[in-house]
Amino acid sequence: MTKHVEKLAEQFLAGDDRGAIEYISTFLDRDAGMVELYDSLITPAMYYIGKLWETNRITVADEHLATATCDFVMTYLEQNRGPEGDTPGINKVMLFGVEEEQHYIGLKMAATIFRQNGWNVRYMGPDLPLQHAETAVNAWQPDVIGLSVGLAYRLSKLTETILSLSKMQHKPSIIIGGRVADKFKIPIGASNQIFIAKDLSNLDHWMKHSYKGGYSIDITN
Amino acid sequence: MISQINHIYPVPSFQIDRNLNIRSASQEAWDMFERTDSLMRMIDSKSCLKAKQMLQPSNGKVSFEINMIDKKGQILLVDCYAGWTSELHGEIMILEKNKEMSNILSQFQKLRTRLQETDMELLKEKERLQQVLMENNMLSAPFIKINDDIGLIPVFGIIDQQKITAIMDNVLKSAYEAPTRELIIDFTAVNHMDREGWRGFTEMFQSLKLLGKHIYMTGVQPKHAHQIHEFNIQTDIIFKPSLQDIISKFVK
Repeated sequence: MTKHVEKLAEQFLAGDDRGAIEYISTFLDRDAGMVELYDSLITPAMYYIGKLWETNRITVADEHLATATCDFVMTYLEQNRGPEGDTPGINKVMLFGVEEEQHYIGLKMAATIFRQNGWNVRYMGPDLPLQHAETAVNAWQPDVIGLSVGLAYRLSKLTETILSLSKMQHKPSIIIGGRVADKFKIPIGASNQIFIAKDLSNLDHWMKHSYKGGYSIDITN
Repeated sequence: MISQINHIYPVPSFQIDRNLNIRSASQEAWDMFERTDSLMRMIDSKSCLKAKQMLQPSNGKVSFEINMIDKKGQILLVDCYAGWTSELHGEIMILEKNKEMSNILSQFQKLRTRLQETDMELLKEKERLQQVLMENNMLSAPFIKINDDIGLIPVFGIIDQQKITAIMDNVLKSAYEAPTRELIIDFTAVNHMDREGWRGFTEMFQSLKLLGKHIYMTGVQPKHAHQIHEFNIQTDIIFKPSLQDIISKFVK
């Protein structure tokens, strides 16, 4: 698998979207669905790219090109391999990144997995100011709010966002994902509303087996 | 006590020891960064490990990219050039990344945000249209009571599964509540129908018969007749040539 990850990272860094799509297509045809593709190939490839920067082998500009290529490839794959039909179910999820958080690939992946499970998805992108988030949540009343956090120093912003959103009258469930999600300390009083998704397979499992509507979440699953 | 370096170059630079403590600094360095005695305190937490690994005397001359925190608390992407004159004495020069690149990156981000907003607008519009379509479907088979004996249901638009699902409840409810025994379903305003739609329609028909209604169908056009034949779905619907004929027969 490491070989696949490094090869894909190379294609992202070279801006080779066609090559990446072709390579992923052979991988997907063989034995995998979207969740596996994301968890075992795309996410590790993007983490590997982060490591390359940390070890001074690429620049931030390279990282940006890789992210844009990855974004394009994911959009293409979802359009061509995504869920069939266009009539989403009754469950509504709103996804966004907290203010100043620029990482958004994980959010896009989560959006695909929600859509594949028949959810009605609103993807608001990264860097959404809290005030805008509150307005959007009030207007659309999603059953679930998905937040992504990629950097440790956004955790305080995340806490602020969660404390505010968990007090919304319709009590939405809140899911936290992203690279540093496991470092997040769930605020007291909001614990039965919050689920931390380790990865997309964990999120997929939660949707299929633990989510029962309403705000009570069984976090033992 | 941190002394001042007097370079001829107008760039931020520091002299450091192997623990990355600052021994001296250029004026430009203090123009850009908050005064401190440790280089690590002005480096963004996610870049600290990278900086530590790069800034080791055994590495010799190095150039690398990290994020630093400027005086205003903003994250600044910089290129660092460093080297060691001895195990204890190093120098590091810090150049802010080319502004053009950050302009391009922010342009890029703006475009992405715009695409996202357009995407959201389209999504909202799609949802609005789906709602309109649903309402339109529900209104496209109204129940009209002609007199105590006769009811008329003119059907509008296309007949597909979605349409049948939308009208079924209303039609059955109105037919149940109305005393009329004779029920005419008029197809004059029906444009296109598909197999699933017609199947659903015949099922609705059976339910209406169970409610004790006598059902007649009018306004069937040649293209519908052809399609109904092709679908080959068993039905005992009574077809009548025109709405006028059947109403005048009943009203006579």
